[in-house]
Amino acid sequence: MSKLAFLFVGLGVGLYAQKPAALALLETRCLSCHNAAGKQSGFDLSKRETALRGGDRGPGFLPGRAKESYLYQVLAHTAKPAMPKFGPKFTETELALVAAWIDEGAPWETVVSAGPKRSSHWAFEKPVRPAAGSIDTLFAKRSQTPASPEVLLRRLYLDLVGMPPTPEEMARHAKLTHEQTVDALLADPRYGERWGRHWMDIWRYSDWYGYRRANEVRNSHKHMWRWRDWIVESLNSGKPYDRMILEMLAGDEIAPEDPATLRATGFLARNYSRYDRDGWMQDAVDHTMLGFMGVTVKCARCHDHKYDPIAQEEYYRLRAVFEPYEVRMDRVPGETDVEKNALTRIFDAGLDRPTYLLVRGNIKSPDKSQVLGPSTPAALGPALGKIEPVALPLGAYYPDHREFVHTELLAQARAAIEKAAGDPLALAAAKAELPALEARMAAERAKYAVPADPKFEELAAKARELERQAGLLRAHEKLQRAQAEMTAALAGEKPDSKKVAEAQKNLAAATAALTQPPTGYTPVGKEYPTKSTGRRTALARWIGSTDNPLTARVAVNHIWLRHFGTALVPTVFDFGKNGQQPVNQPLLDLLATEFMRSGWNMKALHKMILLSEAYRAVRPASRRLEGEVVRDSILAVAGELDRTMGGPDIDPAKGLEVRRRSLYFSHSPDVQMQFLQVFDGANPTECYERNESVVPQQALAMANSQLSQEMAAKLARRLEGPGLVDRAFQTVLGRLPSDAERELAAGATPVDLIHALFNHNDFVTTR
Amino acid sequence: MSLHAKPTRNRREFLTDAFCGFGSLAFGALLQAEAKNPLAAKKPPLPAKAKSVIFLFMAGGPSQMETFDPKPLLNKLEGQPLPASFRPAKRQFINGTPKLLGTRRTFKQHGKSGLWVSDLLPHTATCADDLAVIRSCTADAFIHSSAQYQLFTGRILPGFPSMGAWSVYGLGSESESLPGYVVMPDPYGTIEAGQPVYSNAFLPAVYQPNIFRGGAKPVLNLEMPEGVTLAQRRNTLNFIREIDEATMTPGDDEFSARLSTYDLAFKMQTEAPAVFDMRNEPAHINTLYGIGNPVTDDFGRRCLMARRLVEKGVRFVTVVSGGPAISQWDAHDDIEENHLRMAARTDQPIAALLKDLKQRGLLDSTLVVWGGEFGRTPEAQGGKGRDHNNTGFTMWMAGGGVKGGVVEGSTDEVGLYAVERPHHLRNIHTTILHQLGLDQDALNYLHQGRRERLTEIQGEVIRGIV
Repeated sequence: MSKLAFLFVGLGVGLYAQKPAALALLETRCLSCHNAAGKQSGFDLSKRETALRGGDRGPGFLPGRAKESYLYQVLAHTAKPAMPKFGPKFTETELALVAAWIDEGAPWETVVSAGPKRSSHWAFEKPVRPAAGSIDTLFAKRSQTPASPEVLLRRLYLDLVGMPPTPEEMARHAKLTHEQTVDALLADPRYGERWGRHWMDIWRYSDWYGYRRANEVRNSHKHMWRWRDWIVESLNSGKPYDRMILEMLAGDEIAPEDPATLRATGFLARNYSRYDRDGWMQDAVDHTMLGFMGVTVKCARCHDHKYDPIAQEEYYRLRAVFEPYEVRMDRVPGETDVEKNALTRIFDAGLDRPTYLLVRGNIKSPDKSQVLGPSTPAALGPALGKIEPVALPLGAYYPDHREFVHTELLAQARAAIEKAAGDPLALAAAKAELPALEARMAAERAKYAVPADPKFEELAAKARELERQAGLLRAHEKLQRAQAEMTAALAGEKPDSKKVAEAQKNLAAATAALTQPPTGYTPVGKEYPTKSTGRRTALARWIGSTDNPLTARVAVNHIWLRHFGTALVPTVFDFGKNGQQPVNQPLLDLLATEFMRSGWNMKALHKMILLSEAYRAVRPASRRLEGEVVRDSILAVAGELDRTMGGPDIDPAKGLEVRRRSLYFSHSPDVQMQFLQVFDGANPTECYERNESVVPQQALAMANSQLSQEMAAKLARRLEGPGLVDRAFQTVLGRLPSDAERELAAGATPVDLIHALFNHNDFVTTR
Repeated sequence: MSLHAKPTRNRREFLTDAFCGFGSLAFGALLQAEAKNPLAAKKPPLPAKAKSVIFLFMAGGPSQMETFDPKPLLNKLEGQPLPASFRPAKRQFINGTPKLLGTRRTFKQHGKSGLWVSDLLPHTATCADDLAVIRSCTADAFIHSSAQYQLFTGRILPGFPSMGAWSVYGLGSESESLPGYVVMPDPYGTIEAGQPVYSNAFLPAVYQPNIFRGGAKPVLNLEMPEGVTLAQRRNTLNFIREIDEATMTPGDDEFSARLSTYDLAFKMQTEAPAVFDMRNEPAHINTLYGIGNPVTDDFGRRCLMARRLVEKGVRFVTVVSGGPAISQWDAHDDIEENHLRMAARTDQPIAALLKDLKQRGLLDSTLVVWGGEFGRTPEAQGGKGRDHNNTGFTMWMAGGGVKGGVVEGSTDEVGLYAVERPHHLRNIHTTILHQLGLDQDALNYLHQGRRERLTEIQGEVIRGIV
């Protein structure tokens, strides 16, 4: 019998391979550096022949002669360099295993080939609709006792619109069937806000953050709120999920001139990182795959994935899909300063940017022997469809050439003339700049006219001349200003050296401008590439394909989680072999196949779930609501909620006086509303699932915050009069008090009663 | 059976997830004993020297040459370029061929140990025999935000938990009435990397930092609302309890957990304000910390608060000196002006903190760590300033089982590169965890399929100082 110890490697469903324990050890401890791509010290342990051959320092090992083998010696620290370089020394037991294995002749690969092939994993096979069954037959074990109508209505309201029903709404719904109520709430615009926040979690919504003092964007981007509004609107309009994926990943390719669609690309713009393009690319790859497909491809950044069939090269081929894209801000009507307001969107900037495999995931060690083209991991679904480059229309690649931009720039130039009144030099410059701008626009229009405008040369010459004249006048004006600054800077007792230097710099620049020969006229705005690679469109279609085994399952799992509080696959972002098994795969697959069959119709999926007996049944325990729902509900029951939808993000410090829904406040790693944070607010870096902690800080927020105090007082005033106790219970908790409660409440002041009801378990939970 | 028999993520399930992630983690086993309150104090898995940590963060990067690392040769070579025999420097802002800049500070040996400290820090010098000065620190990044991320979270990128969050995740909090992890930022403003450096990132939210607001009411919602007395609040809470209990379903863990948080909240409300109220501190303590002197008042108050917090069992306190731009130790323009200004604010309070902890017997169980995200270049920037230097700089530790009056490692003769026993920041992290009785491997959290830990790559305990 062999002296060798064997290790059964259990992955996913069952045992499929058996490999020598020593080999498994070397794999985990050494392979991350000594692999085919990395080859530290020229040594590659991924194959038997390369391992035998060894590296720069000589042969790896001699089969049958462990103690003389270099590999063994460096591990035993009898030869240098002592290995592993990172991590603890091998224990005596581990060394003995390695020695025994080498002495046995170093058998490689699987000794017993058994088990299914590597890619066989439930989640990588297409879901099949269970032959028979509905949610209720597949989900039979739970309580089937229906919840009372008032509990159910409250549950539906909190679930679908994110706030409790008002007494008036309760009265109205009492006359409707459950299905009618579901339909009404799915058609309520508040549905998009409530579920928009869920998808903002999954899609990592973050407003810009960075160096706020200097207004310097380092991560995410300005004006991300347009993407948030797109999410809310898309959900409300019932946009199919596959279409949403397509617009988010490739809105700029499928609708290059449609600002409404372009907003969706905030999904990718959000990954922007000013100082770290590599990290930006990683986020784009990793979170696209985590969010839409529940696979942790990110593990394959440094080495082949340890659990799932994703090779390191495949990771970088996926990255190649994103490699060309960048973020820009296009002007929007009404604002010429893009810092103040603009459409933040993505576009392909570097069409030929190569993607290389990064050895050990290190940006400093690209393997330049091969440029990796875009594709998707083979084991995760169908092959990537054909990539077709997209020719962009003029308005897309030259956005400042659009009519409204010209109109507004001209208006701005005219306003500058008025502003300069009283300053002769500035006025002369401004007066010259307007015709120069008009001439530049005329030249640009001629340049891009179809068919070509024969007057282009003439118009270009005119634009050049007018711009030169205006430039000279402006330089004179600046020169005078710089001189004045200089005089002022030198005037005081102690000249401010910084101001003097600044003035000197301006003076030099102005003087230089006066003598600069004209080279050509300046275009009206920036021009971008006229083509887009089409890579992201292909990826989006691949993700949103009905042949993709993961996309629908991942989405329905997220939706189920948010209706029931537990997911069907508990590891919502990992459907791979290292994730958990589905607790009810037939049910998951029923929902997934129905979702696709309905044309990825989310509202239909919600409805299917909400009409089930499972959803309508009594629940044994309460579940805490998200901070947004708690805050919105307090404002709503007090009658103080401002229902205005959409628009720029609001400073969370104004959370008390601006009574908008919580999703409209800035949310980034830098800036979050404290009230929401206390209730496990979404981590803006990633939040595939919310935590539901129960901590005293929540009690403090409910008991002591200005919000709950003020709103309790407002509501008390509103409800004053006979029957206050009943109405208070109805308004805050959606039900009448029991006799015991009524008795308790009778002794309290109205404000105290309402304040206490805000602190009631039933107010901050759903049941 | 279906896992949906109980269709809610109740408290216990949450706690299980919080500690064990998905599946079971090595660390989960350690926590089985205490699964009720995620913040309850836990026995450290390894022998611990320190119960608490106070991190005195000198934002912007204080200079080693002006503080703890005397370089006589640097003064001799002043005005000359770095000799070719030295390894050239990496720099962020210096252009062209810079000239070496000597220090205007004078160094003397202090205490029985004869530890070298410059006259920039006369007060800290009086604690020389308590300091373990690590002169050979290194870090990967030489721009502020990345370097600050690495110092706090072990990674140069955002998105990872800070050491304070890791510590509380590992050990819970000794105090029921105070947060386990407190950050006291500089009132001058947010540091360059922003508040995410302090965060719990993917660790459950209960490990989030409690960022103190300035003034007498540092924790939001902890103070009684205007006009409400403690007795009234007790009544309100009783009423809340009664009205809650009227409809409580037996076995609803979430519900009972929420009720108990109201008791805890009340405990916090009654006890914590007393900790925050420093008026009862005797005059000599105020004087010791420099409270009342406009220069030292703010940092002195925050250091005194740090002592009061660890006294009550708070696990990790970060006190920040420095905000954005020129309000930090970022002496690009003029090392003298900047460091004299920054040291004047912090030196006396820091020495006071060490002495105060010691006289109360708390220094043995409190690890005090001092340092910035990097040090500064021996070469001059713009004549009088110094640029960032991440290749060799000084940090110190005191208390918490660390040896006093020792020097660990060294830099080259001008203070540019760490040469003897270099210690990457991950060794600092490993040592902090080690003193707390935590193991860098066992203290992990399964995040997106990977067991993340503070040190990422194996760090070493700095044996020379423990």
